[in-house]
Amino acid sequence: MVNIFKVMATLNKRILYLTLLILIIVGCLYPIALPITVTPWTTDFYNKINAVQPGEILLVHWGEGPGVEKTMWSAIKLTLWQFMQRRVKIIWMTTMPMAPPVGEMLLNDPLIKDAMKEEHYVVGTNFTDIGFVYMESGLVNFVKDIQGFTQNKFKDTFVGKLKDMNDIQYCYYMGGDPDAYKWLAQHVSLRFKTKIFTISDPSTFPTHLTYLKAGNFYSCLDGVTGSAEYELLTGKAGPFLGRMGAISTTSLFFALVIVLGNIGYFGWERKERVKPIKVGEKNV
Amino acid sequence: MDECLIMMEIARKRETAIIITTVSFLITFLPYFFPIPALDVVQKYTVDWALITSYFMAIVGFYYLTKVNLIRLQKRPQGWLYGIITVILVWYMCITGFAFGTGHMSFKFFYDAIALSLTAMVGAIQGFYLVGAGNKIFRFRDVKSSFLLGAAVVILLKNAPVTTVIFPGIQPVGTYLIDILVNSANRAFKIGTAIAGIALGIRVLLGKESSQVGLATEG
Repeated sequence: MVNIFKVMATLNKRILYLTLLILIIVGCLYPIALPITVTPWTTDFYNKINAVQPGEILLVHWGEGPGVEKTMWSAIKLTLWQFMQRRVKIIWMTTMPMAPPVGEMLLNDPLIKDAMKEEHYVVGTNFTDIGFVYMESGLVNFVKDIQGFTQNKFKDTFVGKLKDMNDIQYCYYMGGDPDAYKWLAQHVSLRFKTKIFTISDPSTFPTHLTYLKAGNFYSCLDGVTGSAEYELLTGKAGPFLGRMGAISTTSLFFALVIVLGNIGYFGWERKERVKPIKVGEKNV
Repeated sequence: MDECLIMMEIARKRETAIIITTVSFLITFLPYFFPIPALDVVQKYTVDWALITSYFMAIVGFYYLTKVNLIRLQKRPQGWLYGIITVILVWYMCITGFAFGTGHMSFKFFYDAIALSLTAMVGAIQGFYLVGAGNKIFRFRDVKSSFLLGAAVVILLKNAPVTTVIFPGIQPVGTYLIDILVNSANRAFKIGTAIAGIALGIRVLLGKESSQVGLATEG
């Protein structure tokens, strides 16, 4: 006779993977508009961007790899769009070798292109791309001496009037490199008055919150759930709001698997558990 | 010729490496505490050197990647084919990028069709492994493991938007876990590693950390 507790404790991986796959595919193919709640961090992020004054300067520290296009694209483009609605002057800086093509994709996104047209963004006047800045040493040189770093190449643009990071009011770090946000905290927020916004995936988000609590960062956004929340807040429904159904079902499935594992553990595995092998003892 | 040998001998000395490390450290460290313009200028030059050197590292990495995989091609150990595919792709991206620019279709195609999808896939695959592992790892074995189990379940339910709507109480509990508990533990961990880093730095400056100057095997 089949021991149901044993089955629960040792669930077949093939069945688990297949069920998860079905839940994801069905959730993506047939998106269900499930109600979602907006987290306090996302609300704070949204409100703080709304408080940005027209004409203030934003340094976009773009360091995202290609994966973000599938995971948190809406949050990335809607936050940038929101900044553009505030008519900030934007300095675009790329900081990761794989990032430039993704940055290009973002700037070519219809929503961003339209916003640039509607808000009269003109390259050189209120939008300047200073290109690739390599690692910590590049950032240190930039923040301390903008003209020296750019070798006066942008003297005819608004960047030409900036001396150091004190002249830039906001920085928006889009990336998940654990070193990059340490450098920003160390070289930008501790030495200058620039307020730093960050966006990241859920795995690095708690670390960003540590810097937020310490006052190094101004506001932080979890890009994955933040994508759907931002679609809700801005009223620009996109694919991520629909995908929340898949996130809900897969998260609940994960919780169910844990519960089943524990029932199986108490019903079968605990009784059958072999004595743990001590260090140095032979496993026979 | 003799002078060259003497110079090489000096360069190889452990003391030389320690002196260079100490001087570089002081040049980058002191301007944080003493706003002396001259020190700032010297620091800027040192940082520039670091920047230039880091570009050379990329070239050295490129060279060794090719060399190591060509040797593997001769010996053909397990998985050699993957190495060859890597080398071919690296060379392809370099040549097309340099020759036609990063905006050219030949460069963009590989990036958009391969790099983009594969990077997303690496993240997606983890979900499957986590579900498999979740069934085995998150067990109520004792009081300590129950903390991990409880936190995992709360965070999972908090991340499922539908649960936060049905049980609004989950959201503040999950937020408390991330915002207060994870934060405080994270901070303690970070402060601990920073202090350990300072201790290691002092050992390097005092020449007690022989591995830093390439003398680990002699110790």
